[in-house]
Amino acid sequence: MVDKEKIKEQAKKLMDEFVSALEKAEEVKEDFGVKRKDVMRTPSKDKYKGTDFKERMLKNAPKVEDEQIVAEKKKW
Amino acid sequence: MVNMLVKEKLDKLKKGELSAVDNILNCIKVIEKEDKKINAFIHVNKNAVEEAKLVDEKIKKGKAGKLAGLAIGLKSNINVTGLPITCASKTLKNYIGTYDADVVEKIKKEDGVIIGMLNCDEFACGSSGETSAFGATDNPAAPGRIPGGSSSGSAASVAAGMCDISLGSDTGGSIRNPASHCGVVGIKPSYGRVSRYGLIDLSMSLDQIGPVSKDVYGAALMLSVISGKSEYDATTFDKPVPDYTKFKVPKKIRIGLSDDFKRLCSDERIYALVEKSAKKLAEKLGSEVKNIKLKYVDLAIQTYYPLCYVEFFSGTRKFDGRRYGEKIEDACGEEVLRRILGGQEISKAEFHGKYYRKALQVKELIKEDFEKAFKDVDIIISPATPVLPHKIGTKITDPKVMYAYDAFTIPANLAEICAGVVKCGEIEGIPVSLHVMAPAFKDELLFNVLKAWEDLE
Repeated sequence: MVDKEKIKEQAKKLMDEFVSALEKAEEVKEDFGVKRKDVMRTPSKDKYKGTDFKERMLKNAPKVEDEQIVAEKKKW
Repeated sequence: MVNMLVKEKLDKLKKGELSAVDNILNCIKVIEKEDKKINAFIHVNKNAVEEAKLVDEKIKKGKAGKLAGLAIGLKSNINVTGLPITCASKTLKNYIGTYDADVVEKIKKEDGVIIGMLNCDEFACGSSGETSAFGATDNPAAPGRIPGGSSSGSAASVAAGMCDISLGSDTGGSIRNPASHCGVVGIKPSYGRVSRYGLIDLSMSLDQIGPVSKDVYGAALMLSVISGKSEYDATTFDKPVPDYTKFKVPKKIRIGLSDDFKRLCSDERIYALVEKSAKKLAEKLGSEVKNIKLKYVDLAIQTYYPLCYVEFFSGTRKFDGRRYGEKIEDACGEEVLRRILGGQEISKAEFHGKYYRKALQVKELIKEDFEKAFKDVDIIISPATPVLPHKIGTKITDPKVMYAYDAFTIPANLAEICAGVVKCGEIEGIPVSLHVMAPAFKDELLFNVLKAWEDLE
């Protein structure tokens, strides 16, 4: 049985250790990130229109009724 | 046939001296014979022979594409219609791909035959191939040792002759690390060179899909096919895609070695072999070797993991078990859970700026390190890994020990440059590779250097 709390603590400790090492980097860069002119996906056409994509997708769903995926409400 | 290089095989296929069907059947024969012990495949495509028949018809008509009849293996995190895309996890053990990734569309268009889905570390989280829910993969080049990861099956399948070329994904070394341990060629293209549409991501700002092949030609051919702008991936660049197989001898280039890498190499024998090989290459090319400074490269692992944990946590929120698969936290293994829970923890609002932002800041410094270095040199060479691959099943309880495998490969992902590995020798009978790094979108130069080394050997 996996001990989730133990793993979470271990991961946090590891991240603290790593980020503490990053303090060595004295310079601070505020301008970072991946720079792109167009950051949105702008497909020129819907490549799945008219295909059986929906049927394929629904085959992976645990519960389907009337071509809709059924999922519990309360846990959302 | 098993040892035939891609160039030679492709010539035979195009001339009709070898049929696509026979090529696929030969690969399947090797899989049936060897894969019980190697465990490189999670699923073999039952339609591969039928698909090869169609390629043979096109070859006869002289209409076949660039990959005509070659057997292509895919890491199990790349979507293909109708094949199981498990990510080597119980989370997706019954998930069937509903669409083709951009790279798969391109491979099919050029008449490559998808032979199957390959084993890997679970959700690409690992450096040894041991975290797969489908069992560890063995190393065909060093039996009993790990093949490296996370694209373990991608490297092992090519090394064992089960397929001609494979695709893996490389977030911090996941193509180059296993390719090196298995003695084959592995490429991480420049960030934005290859569309990630259809790749189940580990860390979206770092992931790239790339090829593994027995020879430089095969890797160059595959990258020529899968590169280019995609309207489904906003991070791809609209830059021309050269034919990477048109190799040129890169004369008088400046080669960089760095003591900052040397200090990180735990096994001195590995560094000595790589340094000797780099100097031999420089001599052949009439090049000079310079020692370069990479001030922050020793912080690469510490920078990479906070980014990876947070992006992985974010990317895995879709695996809630409602539309497909199982809820990831209930089905995954320990390393995947560590990254999810760790990522969740450090993403909390109260930690704003402390982890992810700090790591992004240092990532930028590492990127600048490389940009400065590339003003003095054309390429940089380091080992691919700081140690030889461990024996399968070795108990490693400290994650940092496993993470250290990628000390030399992570910087290329952080700097968004291209990099590749090619075998340069053996230590204790285990392959050791040159890890060559070139500036972003100088993938052509990278291939020219790797080819120059291959021809030298």
